[in-house]
Amino acid sequence: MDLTWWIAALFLPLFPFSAVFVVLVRKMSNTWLKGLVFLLWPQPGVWLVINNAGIIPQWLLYWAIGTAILYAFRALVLRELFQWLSFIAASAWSILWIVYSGNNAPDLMLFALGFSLPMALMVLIGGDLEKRFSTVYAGLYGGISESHPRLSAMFVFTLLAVIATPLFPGFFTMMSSIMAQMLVTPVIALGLLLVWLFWSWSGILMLQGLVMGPFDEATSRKPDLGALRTAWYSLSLVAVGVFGLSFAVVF
Amino acid sequence: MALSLGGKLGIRSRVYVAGKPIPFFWPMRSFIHHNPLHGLENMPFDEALIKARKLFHANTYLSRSQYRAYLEDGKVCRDALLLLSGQAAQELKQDLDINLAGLFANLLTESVEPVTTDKVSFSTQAVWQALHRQPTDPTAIINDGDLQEYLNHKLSPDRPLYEKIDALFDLGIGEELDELVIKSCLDFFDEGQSVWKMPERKKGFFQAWYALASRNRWLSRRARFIQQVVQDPGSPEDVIDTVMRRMQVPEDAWQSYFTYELSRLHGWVGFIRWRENAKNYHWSNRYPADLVEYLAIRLTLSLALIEDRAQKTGLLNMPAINKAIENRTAELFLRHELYSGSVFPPLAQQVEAHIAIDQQSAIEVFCKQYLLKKAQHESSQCADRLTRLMHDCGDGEALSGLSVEQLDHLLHALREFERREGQLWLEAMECQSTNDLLEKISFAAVPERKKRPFAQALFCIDTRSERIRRHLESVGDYQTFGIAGFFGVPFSFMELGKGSETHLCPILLTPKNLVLEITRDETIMDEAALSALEKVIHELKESIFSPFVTVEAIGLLFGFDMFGKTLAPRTYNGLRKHLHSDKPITYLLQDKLSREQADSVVRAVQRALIESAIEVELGLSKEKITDDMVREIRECALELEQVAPMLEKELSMDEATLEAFIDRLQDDYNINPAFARLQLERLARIGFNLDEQVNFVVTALKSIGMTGPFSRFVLLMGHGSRSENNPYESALDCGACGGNHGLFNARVLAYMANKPRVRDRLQREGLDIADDVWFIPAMHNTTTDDMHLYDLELLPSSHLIYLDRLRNGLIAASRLCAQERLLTLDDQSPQREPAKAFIDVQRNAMDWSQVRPEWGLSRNAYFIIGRRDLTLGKDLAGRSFLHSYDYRIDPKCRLLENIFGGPLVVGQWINMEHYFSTVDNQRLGSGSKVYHNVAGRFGVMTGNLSDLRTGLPAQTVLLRGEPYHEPVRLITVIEAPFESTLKALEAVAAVSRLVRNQWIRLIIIDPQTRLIHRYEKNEWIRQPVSEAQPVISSEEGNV
Repeated sequence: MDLTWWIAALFLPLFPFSAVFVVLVRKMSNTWLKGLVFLLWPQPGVWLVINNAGIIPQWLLYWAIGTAILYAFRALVLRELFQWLSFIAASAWSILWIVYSGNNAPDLMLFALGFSLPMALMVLIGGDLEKRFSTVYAGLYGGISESHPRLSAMFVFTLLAVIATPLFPGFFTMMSSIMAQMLVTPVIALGLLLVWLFWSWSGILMLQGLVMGPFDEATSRKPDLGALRTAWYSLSLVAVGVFGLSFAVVF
Repeated sequence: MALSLGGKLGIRSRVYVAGKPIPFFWPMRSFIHHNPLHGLENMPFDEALIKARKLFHANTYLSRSQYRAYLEDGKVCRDALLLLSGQAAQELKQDLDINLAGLFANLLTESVEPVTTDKVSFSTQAVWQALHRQPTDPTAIINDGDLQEYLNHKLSPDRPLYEKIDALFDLGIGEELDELVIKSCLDFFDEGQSVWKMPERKKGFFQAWYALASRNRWLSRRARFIQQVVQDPGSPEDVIDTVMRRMQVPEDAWQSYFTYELSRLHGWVGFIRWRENAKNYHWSNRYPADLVEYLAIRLTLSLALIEDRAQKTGLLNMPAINKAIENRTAELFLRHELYSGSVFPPLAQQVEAHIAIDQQSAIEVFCKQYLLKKAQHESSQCADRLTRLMHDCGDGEALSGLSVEQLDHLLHALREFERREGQLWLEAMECQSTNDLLEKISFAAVPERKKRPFAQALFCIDTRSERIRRHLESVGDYQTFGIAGFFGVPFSFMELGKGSETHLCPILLTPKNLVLEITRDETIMDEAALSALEKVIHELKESIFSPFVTVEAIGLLFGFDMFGKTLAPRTYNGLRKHLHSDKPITYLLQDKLSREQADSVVRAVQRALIESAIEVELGLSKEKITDDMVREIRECALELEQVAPMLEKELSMDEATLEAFIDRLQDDYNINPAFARLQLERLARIGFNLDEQVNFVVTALKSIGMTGPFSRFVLLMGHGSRSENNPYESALDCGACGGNHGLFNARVLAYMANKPRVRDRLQREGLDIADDVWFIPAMHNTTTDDMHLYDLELLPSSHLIYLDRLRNGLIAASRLCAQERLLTLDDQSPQREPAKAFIDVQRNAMDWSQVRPEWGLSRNAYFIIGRRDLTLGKDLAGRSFLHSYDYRIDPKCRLLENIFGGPLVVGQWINMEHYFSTVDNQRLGSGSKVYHNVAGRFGVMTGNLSDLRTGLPAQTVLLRGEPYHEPVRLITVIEAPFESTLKALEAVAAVSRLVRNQWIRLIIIDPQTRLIHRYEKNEWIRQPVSEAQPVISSEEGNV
């Protein structure tokens, strides 16, 4: 395995190289910059992998699925949104190795973007939450569904996109990968299903801790999202949905 | 080791006292409005609310923003608010040279957020430094000793051990424990909802649970302690003692520990408390349970869970927690911050990371940084708010000149004021409500009527009657009265086709008399067949396997049902009604049986049983059974005679066989002297004797001042409600009838009042009721405003000609009332025509998706005891209980005492239930109806597993998330001479206590002196009726 793979393992994170991305996200405070990192981080890795055009050894696929499972599982206990998101990102991008091995090399960039777009959007929405409540930490303040309906709606739909629910691009990526691996390496297919389960589970925990719950007087004093920003987020979400549907057409 | 009898009694008495603050929970079939803080009524209102806040973790006042919205809407008296703020400023002033009154007033009316907080991180010095833009001195934050004190306070010994562990480790033990206990309760207390019943329930709650627990591998695997209990359960008292000693809870804290433990699932505990006291409750007699058993189960499970998690926490008992606080103060403090939700948000992740690393030295260093940052943030926040507040009051410069000590005084005063502010808002709101009412009350003398009204109607005192009474009075020559909805006749009722008794009277009374509903028709059999069919379908739905088949087989039928109920509820329900035959004409058995009649009934029953026994047991056919034979057997069974040889011959059996048959009759067929006596006693309960009937009629009429002249029609208007898919339906029924419809009480009183022998005796009592006066029972459906007359077959023919006019009047009133009421239910649409509104409210009642068929008693605020003329023609918006009363015919105030002891107490319960359901609908109400599921057929839970939801649902007291009910204490106005009212009040200790402790706001209007007397803060304040303006100060005119 040449150096290119090792560098790619940094951007399509494989444990322990993934720690670089996780630590970097933790250190960053600027929301826009953080969003940009989530959007672009896997692209150098994708470029390296595609241009290397080598055949990925089987053990690397197991390494990738191991990383994906590890981060998805660890995400279950995380309560801080950005940290959780960085773990989900590490988990999702490591799956791109498996996508690549499933003869989807030409579209790998799109697949990567399919995972990254909702995450970048989530960073921006997380920034809005952070601005209002000092932190985005599940279970710390009362549910915002009643007091901040717009912000909650945007958060819920974006989170659904992040955890790869139907219509969003991640869903089709996961489906195609599982289908591709089902007959070739059923263990990896099972691993992918397990990862998906962990994403959904941890996502629901995040929703429970941030959106659901009793109305809180102190929380309700902060303003909800403005109409313009809501429209902007909604359009972005629709765009991500349409992007996802284009995946469905391709497959 | 087993406890001695004294030890067991000690545990029992502690549990009993510990459970007192938990309110009863009645089964929802007959919803009883009650004060959720009934157990705290011996305390002054404001103190009780502080205790309740701690006990139930509930809000007990509305938020400042909500009160401010009321202030802007003119629902809070601004003058009173300022006056009360000024009084508070006087009390809290100390040596400060600051306009505290202005500061407080500004705080209430301008500031959004509280200035002071209950935070631990900073001292006043830190705020002072923040005010002077100086960096926070690390010494200004709290030290280790303070932290220990803080933790010891937060984790006090009376708090359950697992709660403390959860507060430090977030293990969710409490939630898991609640789930396990709720499951056990659901299994045991089920009243026919589950198809598979819990075994061995007759042995009692603890024994039945133990029988299951001993077979439950999951439980026995859980911890050593469960295994020990399973091996040697002992009595529940033994188990409680063992667990408490094992957890090493100090013995003097046991009682308060029990209280906190019980208050955690206060719905279930309230139900068990009620159940163990309900001696006539079928399910309680059959499957007994009490609080001691409940607590034993709960404590056992809690200890098992604590032991199970001990590996993670290392905390098994109270001393272990105390030791941990001493040795690992910083860690435990940070844990408490993180898991109790008070962590400084930007540092939450770091706190979590440091806890995870588990290095004491690093934690201690971090804790100091954490405290400093938190102190900086919170003290500067406090300083900013204080500066803004002072600046708004024009005292900005004074603030900068304060010393640390003075600032400390100021913060203390503000903190204390903010703690009391809810009570201030409430009093100012009540002041406005009182003023609004007094403005509407007419003090003018009313001329006597020249002729009798066309009809008189007695309505329940219920607030919903106010609207319909007002409209009825407006459409014609009608006079209305308000009386407790059971019409003063308490009785136990056995409805046609039902085998159990229902108490139709306020819950405070225990009825002596029984009334039976009977019919001559035989349609009841058809009805039974239909009921059986419905039961079969219900059971098919409930069981585990059958739904798979039933959905295929008859699912389509349910589909039709669903579409019909959803898309066209009125039409569909109209058609569906035809499936059920109409209820046959029924009569009420309400005259007392004479001794001979009772004997005869018992004899007839015994004879029928013996005939049946001879047929079944001895195989003799009917024609061979003679009357003499039956009589002789009966007398032998009742031990009145020896077995005669002739009988042996007739039955062709030997002496031993005959004696065995007689024994069987005595044991299995209950034909024995003891049971015969019991039957006679039971029969003696049926009906009322003449004296009782006369007494009830006299008391009912005189208590409302109805002494004549009487109209041709006197309507006794019971009330109730009908709605679809609504477990809270009985909450909308008549509270005075124990949460049932009031029709039967109306029928009983009408029967008595129409009886010629009663009329004769009434004349002697000074009630001259003309022969053409006829009492008609009627029913007011509060959901549709429909009023229906009953027992018209008994109406004299001479009255039929007037019946149309009466009906037209009632229909007109119904429509007008529906029109007015519909605006409150649907405030988005314009006012509808009365006829259209009447149709729309009927649709509401039939719509199974309608979560708010009516507002019920929401917005109740007043209780007026006096003549109708006080508020005649005035729109009280359905907010007032109206009890008619004429002091002139009650010189000794005996009738007033009755009103105090019954209706007023019920009114106060209703009022308090609405109050607390509004101020904290999640904790003291029952949350949204949308998520409710019926539990065990006696209550509702949120979702599939929760505490039994007590109180009222959000849809009853909130509108779009904001309070619809305006929570104030019951403002009670009595029109009667002051001195005699006071005497009556003193005679009813329960009400006197409620007034003294300010659970009721009392106003007495003395018509003789024309003075208004208001009870404010332990003093009577008086003012002339013409100057009915707010009086808050206690300085003027004290009596």
